[in-house]
Amino acid sequence: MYIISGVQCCPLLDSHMDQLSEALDLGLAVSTEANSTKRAHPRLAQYKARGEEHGQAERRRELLEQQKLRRFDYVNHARRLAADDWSKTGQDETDGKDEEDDGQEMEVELKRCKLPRYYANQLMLSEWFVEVPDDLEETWHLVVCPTGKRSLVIASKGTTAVYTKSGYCINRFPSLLPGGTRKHTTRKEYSILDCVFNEAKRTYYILDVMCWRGHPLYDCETEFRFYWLQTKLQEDKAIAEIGALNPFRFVSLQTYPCSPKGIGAALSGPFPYDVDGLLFYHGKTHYTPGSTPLVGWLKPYMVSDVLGVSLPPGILAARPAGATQQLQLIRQCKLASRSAEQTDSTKSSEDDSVQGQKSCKYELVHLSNPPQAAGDSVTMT
Amino acid sequence: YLIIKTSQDPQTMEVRRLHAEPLIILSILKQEWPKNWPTFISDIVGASRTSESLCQNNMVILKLLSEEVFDFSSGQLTQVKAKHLKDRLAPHAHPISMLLFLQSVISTRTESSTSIYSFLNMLPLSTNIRIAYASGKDDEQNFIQNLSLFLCTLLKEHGGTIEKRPDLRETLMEALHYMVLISEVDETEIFKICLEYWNHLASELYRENPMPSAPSPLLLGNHHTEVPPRRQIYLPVLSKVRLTMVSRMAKPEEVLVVENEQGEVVREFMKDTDSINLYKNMRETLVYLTHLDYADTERIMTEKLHAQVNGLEWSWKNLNTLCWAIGSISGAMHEEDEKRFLVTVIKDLLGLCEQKRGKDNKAIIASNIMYIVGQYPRFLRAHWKFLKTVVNKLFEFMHETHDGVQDMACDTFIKIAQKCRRHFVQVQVGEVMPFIDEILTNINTIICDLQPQQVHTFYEAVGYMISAQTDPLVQEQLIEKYMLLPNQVWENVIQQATKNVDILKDAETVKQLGNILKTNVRACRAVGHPFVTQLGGIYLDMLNVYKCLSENISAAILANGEVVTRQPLIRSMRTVKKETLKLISDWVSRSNDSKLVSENFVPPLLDAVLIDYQRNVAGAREPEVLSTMATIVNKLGSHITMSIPQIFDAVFECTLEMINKDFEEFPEHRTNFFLLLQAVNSNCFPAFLNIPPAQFKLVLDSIIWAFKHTMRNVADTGLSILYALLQNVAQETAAAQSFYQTYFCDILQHIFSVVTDTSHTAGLSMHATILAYMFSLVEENRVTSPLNPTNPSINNQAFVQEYIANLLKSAFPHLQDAQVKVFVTGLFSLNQDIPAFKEHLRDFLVQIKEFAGEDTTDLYLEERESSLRQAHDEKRKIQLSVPGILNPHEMPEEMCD
Repeated sequence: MYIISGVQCCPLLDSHMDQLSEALDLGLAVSTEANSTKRAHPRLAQYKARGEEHGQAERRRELLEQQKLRRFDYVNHARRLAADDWSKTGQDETDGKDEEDDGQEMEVELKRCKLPRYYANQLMLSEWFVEVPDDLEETWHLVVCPTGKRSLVIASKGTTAVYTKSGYCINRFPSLLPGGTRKHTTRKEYSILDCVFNEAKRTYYILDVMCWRGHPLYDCETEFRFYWLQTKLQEDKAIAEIGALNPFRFVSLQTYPCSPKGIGAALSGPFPYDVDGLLFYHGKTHYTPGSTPLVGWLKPYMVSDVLGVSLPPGILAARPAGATQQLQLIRQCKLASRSAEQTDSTKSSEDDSVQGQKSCKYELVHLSNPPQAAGDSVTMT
Repeated sequence: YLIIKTSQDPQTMEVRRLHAEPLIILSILKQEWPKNWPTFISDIVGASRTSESLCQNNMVILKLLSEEVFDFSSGQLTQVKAKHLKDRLAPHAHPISMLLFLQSVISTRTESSTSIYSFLNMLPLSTNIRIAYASGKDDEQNFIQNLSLFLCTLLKEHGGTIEKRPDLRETLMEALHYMVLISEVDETEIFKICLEYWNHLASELYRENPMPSAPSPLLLGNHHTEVPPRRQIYLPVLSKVRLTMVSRMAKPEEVLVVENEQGEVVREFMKDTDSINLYKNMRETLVYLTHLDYADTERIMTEKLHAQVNGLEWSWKNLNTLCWAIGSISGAMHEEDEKRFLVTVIKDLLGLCEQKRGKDNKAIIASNIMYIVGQYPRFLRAHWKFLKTVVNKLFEFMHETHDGVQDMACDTFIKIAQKCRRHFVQVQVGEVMPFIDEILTNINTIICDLQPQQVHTFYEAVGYMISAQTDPLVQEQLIEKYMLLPNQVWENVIQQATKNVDILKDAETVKQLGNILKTNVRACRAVGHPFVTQLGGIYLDMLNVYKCLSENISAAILANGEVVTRQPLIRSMRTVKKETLKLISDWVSRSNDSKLVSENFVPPLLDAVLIDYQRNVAGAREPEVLSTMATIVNKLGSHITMSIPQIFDAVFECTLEMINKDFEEFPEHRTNFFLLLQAVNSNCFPAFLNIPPAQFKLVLDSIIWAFKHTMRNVADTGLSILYALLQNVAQETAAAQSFYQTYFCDILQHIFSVVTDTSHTAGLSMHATILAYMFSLVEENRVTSPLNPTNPSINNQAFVQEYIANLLKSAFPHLQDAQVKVFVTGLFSLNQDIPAFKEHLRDFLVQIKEFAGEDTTDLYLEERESSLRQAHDEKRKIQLSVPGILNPHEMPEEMCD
């Protein structure tokens, strides 16, 4: 007897369910950074968010302006991170603009039992590269980012601690980084790095440096930080090798200019690691914890679409299986659903396959890369 | 009468408040009434009318008395007396007298106001009892609690009778009204009392007429079907009860953050806490109430949700409570109604999430949405696109750094994976590939911001999906892809170790290995037998690592003493060993090919593990070796009988040596040792016949040692091994007789020593079973060889009787010969009737103990436990037939889809 009701209410509920899925996809969020890389690239997203991608260029400009005015005491901040000494601080000074709680009653109980995680949100995170800057070629730098776990590495007090993005300490070991072994005993010897950890290779790939041998670099521009890091790593090559006092490799990554030639070179490899994506650093930005439009993120296969750069056919530029026609599909879906909305309100979509085709897509493609085995002939669109 | 006089004296009342005194009165009553005080009931009713303080007190007495006599008498009264009291109480405690009492309670509130303790005066029906309680003094709070107890018992026992009297209808409604008001009191203990009644009422009304009262409105536009007359009486009350349940729903799950033995901080889901039991009872009640009128439940929840959205009731606590309530009625509505309801609920909550500012607020709302979604697998299974959106959202949350969000995402993901597993391995309509393929392709990126423990949870979740793939070839490919990353790391380590074995002394390497094995354990738990392809790939290397690490540990202990086992490196080495054993026994217990396991997996395992166990110092022996062996024996049965001598040679004596000094040290080894013994005895008994007599004696000694433990699990294991062993021996005609000759009297003696020991009363029923069995063996002449070593001509039965009589007389010199004789004869005449045999044993124990002046309550402990268990089983049977009564996550997997 329920079959009858099933047939009757299906079309109605299906459109409800579509709306509900869309509402969940767009509306449910805890953090509200723009162009978050946790989600699909705004241009590839199935559901269009309202005005999210806009203003990336504008926000970049504003941030660079603010950078000149704002003087955060990074010397002290670095010292506290290194010493794990939070005695003289208020709790949330790093979370910035997002934490404007509008005075809703917070249950004191819940607040109290929450341990402050001082090491959370200490890394500078990228946004999807949506608006291509005019000064891409002159001012921006490209880093090919390996797959792995993003880690905050703090070498101090004779040990090296590794924290996740959310501030949990997941390992402690000795290392040859300044401050990282018992040999370095002075309290001024400490280093803070932004790394990607590859477990299989036992390697920390250093993306950025916030502090080296007690000298904070938060307030320095990207170009200087990168230069400093390269120079310092040259001074002690044992850091990049596994040894009794250095159980993991610490390795720096090559930086490329963002000229078509540079990008081409970056993508052609070869790389001694699995590539996750491309990081575009603005040359003048300071190291600012949290998500910033001054660092951009693209999957290799998106480069030609987003940057409009024509690339030599290479493995990295190929699209992952299943994503080949992704753009087309999404465009089609959008068109189809738009026209459906216009004409379709009376004629209920009785055919499941039509429904199906609309939603047909490769959902997790924003995470994907092509298989790295050579010889896969992937057609370029 | 004394009691009434005592109760009337306010001073006395004040000095010894309600709790102590009724208990004293109760114990007097149990002795004196009804024989010496037949008019007790009417006296107490009469006295109640005279003063409030007396009235309260009397209420408690009555409540306790009826509870004691009707429900819990088995504890302190002998059987005979309990029956007698029940017979006598029945006519007196007729519901009508109880009701007269109630009326007197209610009427006193208008009649007199002499006492300052006249709470009843302060409690007209218009009182806000919640506030009265909150601002009340101890006395007043006690009164409210007692009132709730009284009403609960009265309505539960006699509500049916009262209902049928139209003249009492108004009183009944007043009583119910009081219950509703008391249910609002902010005191969990009082609420639990009320809940007990509401649960009783709702389930009774539902079961009387289980047809859905209101079918889907889509079916019948107009659904004014007949409401059964009884239900009619309660309709208005039930709506209020629904509101109460929704407004104060308890927390459904509790997570405890603890440090495990390896020093890591881990989250544990609590199973049996007060709060969770409260949740279960409330959920059940609300499900019945929803069946009685689903539209009313929906209306209440929707209104409550609006009060969150428009801010009137917005708070974290209220939102959580409401969402727990919404999640609690999963399955209770018709599917279509449920769908419609959920769509609006989720939409409203999404609106709320967008409306509220601040990550804390958003995180709470998001968790609640995910909680609700996770509670409704039926809804998810019916809407693939929505399910996929939810899962993608969870993946997004796995990168969220706000406190607790990643945990929430992983917990919800595993819940959904378990309940919707099939949907992830099938190609869904409109998709180009099964979703599992997408997950596996991107697994590294999805988990890249998770902590190790969360990664393990994630792997287990994906494992459930893979277990749903029915094509073995496809499944094998999935497993390969699934374990790719851990296997890469594993292979790197193994390769290096092949070149230089010292790498296995490197702290980071050992940590990595432990972590990979943990991932394997969780994956195996979910995938089950098909995990064989993965396990086979790493098996031999894993056992080599085990051996190697074990040698490292032994060497370290040899060099630095046992303190070294506390060092982090040694601890992580032991983690690797333990996880290895866990992986193997988890897989074996899930395997479905005994031949494959016993031929390919067992021999290398025994090689790697047994000798190492034997040679190690006690402190470095892993108790998991014993439990792994037990698992294997249980699983493989006769396939492993051949290997039992090898296992015993290695683990038996050295473990016994560790645990035979006292009853406490090495508790894990102790438990596991006896479990292994039990496994061998029940699965590979022939192995016992082939071991040397000296070793067999050790086995028997250790069984006896086991049932002398006060650790109850160990004692129980010991008794059940013994019973099974006796039965097994009886099957072997040749061996049996020499066994009896050597051990029969010994066993009898040891059993009697525990029977008469108060710390072993919990095992009484098993003692009785074993003794009855042994006596019947003698009586039926199945013990043919003479038991009397000095005079073989004496008949065995006579000898055993004599033997026991002497045993008892020397142990309890105060017993008279006649007593002993009656007891011993009974042991034989009752040995075919275990319950009677047990009663006989128990009466004898009472005789011993009455003399010793001890409390005999414990002797009935077991009956209570078993009747509780039985009640629980029956309840579950009923529950399975009521849609929604079982939490979707408690339901067996076959019942889904």
